[in-house]
Amino acid sequence: MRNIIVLVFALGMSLQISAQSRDTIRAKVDGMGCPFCANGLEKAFRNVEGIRQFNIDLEGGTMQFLVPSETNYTPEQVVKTVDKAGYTATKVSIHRANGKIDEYKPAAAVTASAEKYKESIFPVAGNCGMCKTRIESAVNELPGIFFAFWNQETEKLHVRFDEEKITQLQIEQKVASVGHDTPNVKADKEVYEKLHGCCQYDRKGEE
Amino acid sequence: MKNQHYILLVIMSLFAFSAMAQGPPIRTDKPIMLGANKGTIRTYYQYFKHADNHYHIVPLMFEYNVKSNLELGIEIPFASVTGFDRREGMKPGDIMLKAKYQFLRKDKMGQTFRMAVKASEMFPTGRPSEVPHVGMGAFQTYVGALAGFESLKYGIVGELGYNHFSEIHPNYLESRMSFGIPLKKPVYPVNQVTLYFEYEARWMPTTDDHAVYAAQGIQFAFRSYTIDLSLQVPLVEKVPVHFTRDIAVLIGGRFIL
Repeated sequence: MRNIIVLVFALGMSLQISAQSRDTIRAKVDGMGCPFCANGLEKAFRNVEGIRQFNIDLEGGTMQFLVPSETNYTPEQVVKTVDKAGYTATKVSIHRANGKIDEYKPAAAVTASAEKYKESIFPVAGNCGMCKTRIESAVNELPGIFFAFWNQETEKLHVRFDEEKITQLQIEQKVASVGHDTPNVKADKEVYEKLHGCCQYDRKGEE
Repeated sequence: MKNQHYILLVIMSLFAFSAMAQGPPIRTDKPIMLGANKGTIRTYYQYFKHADNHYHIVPLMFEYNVKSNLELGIEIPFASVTGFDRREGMKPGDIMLKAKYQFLRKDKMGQTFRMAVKASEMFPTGRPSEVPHVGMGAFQTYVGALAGFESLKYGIVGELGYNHFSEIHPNYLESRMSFGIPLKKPVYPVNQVTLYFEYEARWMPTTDDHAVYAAQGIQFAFRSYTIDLSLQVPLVEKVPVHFTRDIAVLIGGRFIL
């Protein structure tokens, strides 16, 4: 019995370690005008060893997947694979397991001044992967967004944006409009109640 | 050139554009390719009646992207004929080799515009019957151009080409048009049902013969598979007898490797 408990504990620890040592790769991909386009894109990444949770949002034009940290996948490799698949990656961000973020900056962004982009991390209420897709897709629709990443564990949105085109308040208003509370803007009750059951996070101050 | 030729050319140019919402059209080619080292296997059964004969065509098609913008393909039709010109069993018809090169790609979020050129060569490997696919008894060289815009809401694809026979038959200009209406919201993995309305036009400049065909089809697309059903009828057929065909029924499918 003791051996079984030790085995289960060890298995759980190894799974947790395995889950923790994965990098999250997210890219904005232009050119996906049809579902079969996404099919070709997924197949292009099939050869990446250890790839998990490959997800494509056609309407948001984004792609996301997890890879083991030890592969040390680079943004340039992502761009190259997307190009080989017949599409164009315009933004790539890799959130490493150790907290570091690697980004791909397209040629157009190189000409932009680094000071023009402001980085902000703030809480956004949510629960699940669907919330993540909804939040990030909504923010990416806005002009001047360089990248947006919502961390499901910490429930914080990491966003880099052009202050000349958009403000954090406008970003929060957009996030709230799709049903997720932010520090300065709360979602309408009607919008919140229309969220899928698994997305209805606990709202502070409400019964 | 007579006025009616100009009118026909304009009509064909209009017919050269097709609106395609989702999924590959059933009877029209597309300039969008699915990436390097990807391929498609396709086959279908087509039945049409011509004169006193009934033709059953089953082509096997394989297309492969050697690069993200270069596609090579082969088409081997098998044909069986019943009726006056009866033939036993399915026999190979005229084999075709083809290539397509995408030279322009403009991508934006959720949309793309692409242009490609294509060429094909059909070899007289089938028993001469003067019926396309079965055996035309002559080499056929086709060159054409495609342009297409596709977004998540709609798509437009146009093809215009010229088919040259080495002998016997008159050369012709060909254009194709298709319009697709998706019945479901575009999602990934693929799960879509699309209605297709497709048109095909041909004009033989040397003889002034021309033909226009219309097809109604439906396509079921799931993950990497499609199942295609299409019914084509002639609207105008002022062409040599051996080019005519009555109603054509197509049932087929494709698999994306």
